Amino acid sequence: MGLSKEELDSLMLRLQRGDEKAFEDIYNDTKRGLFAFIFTICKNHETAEDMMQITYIKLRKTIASYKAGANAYAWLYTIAKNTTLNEITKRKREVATDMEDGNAKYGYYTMEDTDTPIMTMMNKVLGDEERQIVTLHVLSGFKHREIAEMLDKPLGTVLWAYNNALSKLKKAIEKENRDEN
Amino acid sequence: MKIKDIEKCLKKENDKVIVPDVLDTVKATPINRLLTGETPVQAFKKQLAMQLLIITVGIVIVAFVAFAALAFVNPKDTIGPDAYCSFNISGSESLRYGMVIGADGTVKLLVKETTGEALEQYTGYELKSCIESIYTPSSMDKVSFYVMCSKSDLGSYWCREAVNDVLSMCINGKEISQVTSFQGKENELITYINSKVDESGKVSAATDADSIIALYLKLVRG
Repeated sequence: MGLSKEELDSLMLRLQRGDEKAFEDIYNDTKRGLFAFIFTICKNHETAEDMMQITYIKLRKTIASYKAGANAYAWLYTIAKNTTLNEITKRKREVATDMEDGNAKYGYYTMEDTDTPIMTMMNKVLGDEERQIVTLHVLSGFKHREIAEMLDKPLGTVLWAYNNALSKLKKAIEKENRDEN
Repeated sequence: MKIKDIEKCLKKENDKVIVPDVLDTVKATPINRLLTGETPVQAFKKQLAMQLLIITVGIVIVAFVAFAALAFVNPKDTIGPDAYCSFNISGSESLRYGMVIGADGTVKLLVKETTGEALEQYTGYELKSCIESIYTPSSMDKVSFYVMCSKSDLGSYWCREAVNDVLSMCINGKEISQVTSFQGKENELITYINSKVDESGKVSAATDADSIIALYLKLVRG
């Protein structure tokens, strides 16, 4: 989320006019945060990749209905969320099978667990919703108010869940450090 | 480790994650069948217009089918006598016939409307054949008839012409002493009748035409 909302809005409007370069800029700016977000929902690397692809295809298909001045990030993430949730419902049985293999489900996500210890820890100790909130705030750069709107939850609930998630994460890291020592 | 440090570490770790590159696949996917040089907005408007057109055509088809079905289910609502022919022969009982006349001059339905009697229906005949079938001329008949059409002048015109033709043919062979005819739309006829009736309700002149009018009054007004 390196671009400001206004810059992304401007790119969206250029894409509406058929500017392919604008799409590349949107993609490069949003892919990392979007992938992390999708992964928190589906918890499967291959599914996340598929969902990211479908999300961008949907973005291009529905770009004509984008209204100038709207929150483009929120718009894109909402497409991603709905697409992924729909897909999860479809593949429920398949995802459930993947879930049984605890190491496999996160193993694809990072290069090596040793390179991303906190992310690995986050995946282990946080619940789905906590992980989504932390990802949206820390990795995708959304404000708590925007997250509350996207997840259709009160701001207080989002703030509490975020602080609670980071506290849990902090305790888990400290415990792990103590165990290692 | 502080909370802020955890956030920083998470960001750093996320930057190390290999994000699958789907850009080429996404760009290669055909989007809304865009034509060369066409923007997504133009394609969207075109698509919207097409959808509106399809919906409109759909509504028109549904309405047409519904009307057709209604007409099929309840044809009596759409077919009814559009002309009436009343005969009076030599002062005997008047007979009234309701007619539905097709565009080709063929009688689609001819019904004797005298109450208490079985209906006689003649369908698919030419008007002249129908008249011949309901009236057999004999010598010295004094024939009066009126034709009234509430829907079109054409129907009553055809009817009167047919009756006249039949009677003319009859006259060649036999003697028919008097033929009186009347033609018109119902509202015009009633206006005419009213002009012939005095305040006490009596017919002002005892001509044959007036007798027909009196008969009409008796039939229609009781």
